[in-house]
Amino acid sequence: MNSHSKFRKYCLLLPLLLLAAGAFAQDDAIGKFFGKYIEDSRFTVVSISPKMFRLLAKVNWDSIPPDVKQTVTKLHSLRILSTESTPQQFYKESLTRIDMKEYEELITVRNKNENVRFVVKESGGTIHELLMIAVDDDGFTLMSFVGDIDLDKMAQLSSSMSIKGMENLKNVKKKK
Amino acid sequence: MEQVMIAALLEKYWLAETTVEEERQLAEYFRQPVIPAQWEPWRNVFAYFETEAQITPGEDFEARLLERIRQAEATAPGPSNSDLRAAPVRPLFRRAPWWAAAAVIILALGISRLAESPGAATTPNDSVAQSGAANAGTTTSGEATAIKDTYDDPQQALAAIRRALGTASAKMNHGRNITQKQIDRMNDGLQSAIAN
Repeated sequence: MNSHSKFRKYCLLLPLLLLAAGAFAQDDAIGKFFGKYIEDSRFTVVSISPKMFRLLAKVNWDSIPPDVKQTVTKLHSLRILSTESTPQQFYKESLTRIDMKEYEELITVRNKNENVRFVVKESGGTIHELLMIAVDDDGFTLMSFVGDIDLDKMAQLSSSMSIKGMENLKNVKKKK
Repeated sequence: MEQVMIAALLEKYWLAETTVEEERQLAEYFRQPVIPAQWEPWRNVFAYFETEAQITPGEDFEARLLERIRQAEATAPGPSNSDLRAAPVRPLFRRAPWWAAAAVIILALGISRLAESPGAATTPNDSVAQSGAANAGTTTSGEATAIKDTYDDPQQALAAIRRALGTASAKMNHGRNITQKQIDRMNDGLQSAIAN
């Protein structure tokens, strides 16, 4: 009796595990909720497929900081959608499109002219997807990172990279 | 003449190559009152098989068997006994639905993955050559579900990934800074409230 019910449980568990793995590999938030925008000419799309991420192994990594390399090698795919037309409208629409049963809100920043939201898809203590939804007067951006994501590492990256975002940060500090 | 045939049949019989019909013939032969002396020992063998074959379980056979089992259980209700009862031999077909369900799901997953990334089976070199036909920097259109590469050069892709990571990281820190500021402000407020 015992051994048999165990056997049954495993039988149930195995397909469930496979299903979970399949769902994870299936798609990112952009593919799931914003598929129609990918075809929309108002949007600019940047996609880095898992295949391309595998090809990155061939790149010369010497000039890349080790913490960046560590984060990039754990990523699986990346997709960015952005538009300059009616950004606020797209921002509002995007918030209603994301299934919040699957995604958890992580950080919300609301400024006078900029709104940023980070939502994550998490299971078993690991973040599988980080989706950034950002809007300001210049445009609306959706950015989806799929992979094994370490938020602390990612947050530290900006200190080791000189990028536009950093300048924005400094401006914020100056404004204060 | 008959003896030659019987000898041949016997030969076959010991090799277990006789048919049911031939065995019936042998049994019939050994029922004769007079047979050659060298075959006399076999008479009992065939007679035994004949008589044993007649035996059938009696009318009350099942009842007696069940009674015996009940008695055995009553006298020795040990764990070994209950284990025997608890582990019924389940025929394979009762498990089959589970296997079928698992198999179907695995198959479906396999097919969906194949459909999702039709180029995944090709080698990296091949795929570079293929995507080389697409223009770099422009968006490739296609099904919404499959991720189409924007860049065909890993170097460019890496640069884009770094830019994206940088932006995300900066915005994340931006949020943290604001949070920190608010916590500081709250602390200041609390402290001044306590001081007053």
